[in-house]
Amino acid sequence: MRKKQKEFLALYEPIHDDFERFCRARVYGDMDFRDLMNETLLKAFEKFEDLRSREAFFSYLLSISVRILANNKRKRKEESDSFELVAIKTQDANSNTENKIESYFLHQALAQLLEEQRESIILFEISGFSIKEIAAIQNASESSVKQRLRRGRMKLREILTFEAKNSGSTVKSEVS
Amino acid sequence: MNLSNNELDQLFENVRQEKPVATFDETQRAFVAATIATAGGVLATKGLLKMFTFKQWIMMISVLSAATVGTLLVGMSSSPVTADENQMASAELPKKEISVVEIEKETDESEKTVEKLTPLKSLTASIGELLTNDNGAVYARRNTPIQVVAYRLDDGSYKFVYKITPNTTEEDLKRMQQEAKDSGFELEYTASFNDNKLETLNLEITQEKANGTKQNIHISDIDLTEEKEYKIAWDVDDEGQATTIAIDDSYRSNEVDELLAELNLEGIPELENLEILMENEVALLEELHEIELAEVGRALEEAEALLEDSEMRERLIELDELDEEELAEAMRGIREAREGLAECEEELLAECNKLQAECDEIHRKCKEGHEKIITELLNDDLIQEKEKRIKMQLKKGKMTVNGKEIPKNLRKKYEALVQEYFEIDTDQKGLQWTWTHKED
Repeated sequence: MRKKQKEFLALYEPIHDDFERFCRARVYGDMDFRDLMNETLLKAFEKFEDLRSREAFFSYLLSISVRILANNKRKRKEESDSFELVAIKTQDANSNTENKIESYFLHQALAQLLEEQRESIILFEISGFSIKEIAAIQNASESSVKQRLRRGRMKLREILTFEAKNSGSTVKSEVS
Repeated sequence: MNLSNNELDQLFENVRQEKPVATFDETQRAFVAATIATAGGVLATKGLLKMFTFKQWIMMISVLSAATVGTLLVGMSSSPVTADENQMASAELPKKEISVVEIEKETDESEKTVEKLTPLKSLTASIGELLTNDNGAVYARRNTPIQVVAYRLDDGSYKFVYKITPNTTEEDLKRMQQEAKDSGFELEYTASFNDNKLETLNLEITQEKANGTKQNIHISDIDLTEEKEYKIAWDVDDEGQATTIAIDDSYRSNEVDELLAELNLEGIPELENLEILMENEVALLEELHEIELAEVGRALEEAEALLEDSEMRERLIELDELDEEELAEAMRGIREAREGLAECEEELLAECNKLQAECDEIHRKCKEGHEKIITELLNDDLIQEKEKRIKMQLKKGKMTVNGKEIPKNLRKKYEALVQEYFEIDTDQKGLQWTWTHKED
């Protein structure tokens, strides 16, 4: 058991940062991303023997996360406010403040997309997967993934433009 | 001002460079704790696996012990747990030198209980292994059916395990009660017998700890007809005082605690605080219940909203799922149809224009023909002035204008004019025609 655990963690360590970023962005505003990480790791550990290729460990984890989220879709807990705060407060204190705020708005904007769009965008833009790989993870056709990416980006630009306008007007009213 | 694609790419780049909020160590600790807690398989089979998340794992370990036993335990027993279930524990715990002894308790002439401990053999085993099977331990044969297994640990202390079976008598229970009292804690019981067989048992144990805190353990409705065997055990220190008390297979919680201690996990509750922790758990469970109710309410509201919105969503999903190639095909079809329509329109327009031009030409020619014929008629003095109505016709071989016959030498000229301007084949035999001019 311990050997299996060590083996599992050795495979996981190099991809931890990427996996964490995916989970954090994917469930932003819906649930604590640590819950998704832990549940995914437990499930992956359970089925570790079924893993065919060690190189595909990251996409193996992501496929499990995607399935867990699909199963939990109707049972999602809405604790968005508290987790938004947690997300921004627990950022690295040394990181650039401007980047931190931009990241906050981006995560918020991502949370407003349709689930499949959001997932495709995160996998493509943040996790760096190819369209073909995303299609396999999401069990969808490549053209659907392309469509999701295109529409998702369009929607993100709309939302972020709106956010920028809104924050601009707030500043003005405060000054006056 | 719209956000450009480059700006959006830059935002993603920033996120890609972000340091993770949850560190690897933190995630590893949560994962290892959860794998240990689920090693028994109990959680997985009850569908509670998903509740073992970072935030709740400490709480769930306590709930596990509360739900399965209703009490805490540090001690050992030959529990009915299978070797598989303890595989993890056996592998992870250090082995200890343990002496298995036979214990006999007899009452001497002065009615004082005397313990006789006879060393049988030494063995090296982990606690997990010891609990999984008896490892050659011999049950003390006593005058009463209560069986006692004693283990001496390498630190010199003993662990006693009392087994209560349907054959246990009221007298045995009283003796056990007295032995508990001698070990420094109170053991109250109510038992029901049927046909001299012990059927159900309720136990209440109260122990005052060295630090002054009190520990209460209640176990009700122990069904010995089903369980067949129920175990109570306690540690005894050098002064013969019980340190920790265990009941039946609740050693599991102890085992998990030891495993977690091995891992140096932060935040493990001390055993002394478990009672308080359990109270908190009860409150937490109540709170969770309220949360669940609130969630059900929210889910209903959501469902209603979803129903209203479902049609729109379906459309969106359909659109989302549409194959791009199909879309491209459809778009191509529409484009081709549009181009076809435009071509048709153009051709039709050209045709119309052509017809219009022809019409105009005919009209112009007719007008010119009228002018020409009238001029010729005036020149030939067949009419005196440009009359409002002029009628020229060829009928029965006779050509007339307003009833007046045109001389034969002029007929050819007028026939040629009619042929030229009105495209009438005047050479046809027996042809009759009428040309009329009316001034508007």
